Amino acid sequence: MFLLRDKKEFRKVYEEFYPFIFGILYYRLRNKEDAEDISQEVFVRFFKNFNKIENFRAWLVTAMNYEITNYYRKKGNTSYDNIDPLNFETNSSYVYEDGCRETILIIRDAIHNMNNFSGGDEKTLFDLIAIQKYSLRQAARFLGLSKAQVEYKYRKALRRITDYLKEQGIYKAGDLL
Amino acid sequence: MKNKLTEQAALEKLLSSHHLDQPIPPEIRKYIIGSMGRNYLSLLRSTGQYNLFTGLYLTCYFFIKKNGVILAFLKCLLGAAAVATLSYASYRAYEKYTGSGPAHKREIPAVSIEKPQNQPYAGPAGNKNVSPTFTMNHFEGENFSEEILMETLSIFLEEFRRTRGIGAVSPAGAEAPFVIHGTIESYGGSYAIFIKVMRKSDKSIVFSSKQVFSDREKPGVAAVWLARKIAGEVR
Repeated sequence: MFLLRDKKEFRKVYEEFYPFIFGILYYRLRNKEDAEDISQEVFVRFFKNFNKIENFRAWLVTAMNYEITNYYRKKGNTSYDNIDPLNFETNSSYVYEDGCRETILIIRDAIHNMNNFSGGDEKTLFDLIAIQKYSLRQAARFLGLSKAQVEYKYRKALRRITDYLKEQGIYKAGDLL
Repeated sequence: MKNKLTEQAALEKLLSSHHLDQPIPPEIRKYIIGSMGRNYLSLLRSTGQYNLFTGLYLTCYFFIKKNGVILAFLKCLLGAAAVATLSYASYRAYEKYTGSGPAHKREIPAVSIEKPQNQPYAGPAGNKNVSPTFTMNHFEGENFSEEILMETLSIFLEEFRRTRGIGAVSPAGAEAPFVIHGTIESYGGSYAIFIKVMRKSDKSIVFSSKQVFSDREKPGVAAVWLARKIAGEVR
């Protein structure tokens, strides 16, 4: 039974994660139509299991990986073999580039460590702005916040990440450029 | 502040240079924003949660979300206009249903105001004994004390009998061709006595008028004015 309260809650979560999931899918598939179809499949499954899910973010990313494979299998297309089914957050394919493995691992850890964010919505906000390059205004619309609120939360997240990097011995991000 | 911005920019650049970001092209970002509402409605349809009301509401909701704050402001204006319209319509419906609106909005036959001195004087009370032409109940008025209502009735009857004859009006229940019904109500910022005279034989209203007064405790003058009008006009 899906109550009105659940519907509102679902819509809020949908608005928060829809651009994020669609964005990851597009980035990985480089095909707008496929990304849209798969994100739709993911959210239909998400809706059906909504009351049972505890960690929305983790569930959606896992479901997304499953649906990518499923989608291309249904289409009889084997191109899904070329798509990395792993969670992008643990994908280490970039780690060995530029030869500074340790540093990149630390930065990656900093931006994916949930302790550096005050909540799931702050992490989503960071992903939308810093990772997927949405504007502050666009992110504000998705999250139902004002631009000033988004800017404040984003700065706060950046400060925590910078502090984390300092703890790991990286005092100035600019020095690594 | 500048340091903060520099640090922020450096971190963003760092993410980019190490391929830790996943930039979405502007046109795709725009597409994602535009498709959110459409796909949400499609999701509701495929899960059997869609109905017309939900569809209309969410279409407006996502349209506003997509188009930003200016439309949110317009939404507020539209909401306020809708509330005002509904309130006014409810008021009119209530007024029509109960007939409790201001008297000038009800269909009341126009009456000419006659000066008291032009009224035919029936002689001192008690000198002219006539059969009752009118019966009258107490005045009604929810917001007025019994004392004021009784006092108004007393003044009204006294003036009526003085003008029309002592036996012209009798208490309710007696046999008479006309019935007088009076109420005292709040009217705008002041108060008013509303009077109707009904012909018993065909239940038609033969007279209807009001008289406004400003002092809540002193409806007497209005009562006298109305008593003279009825006495002079209803035959």
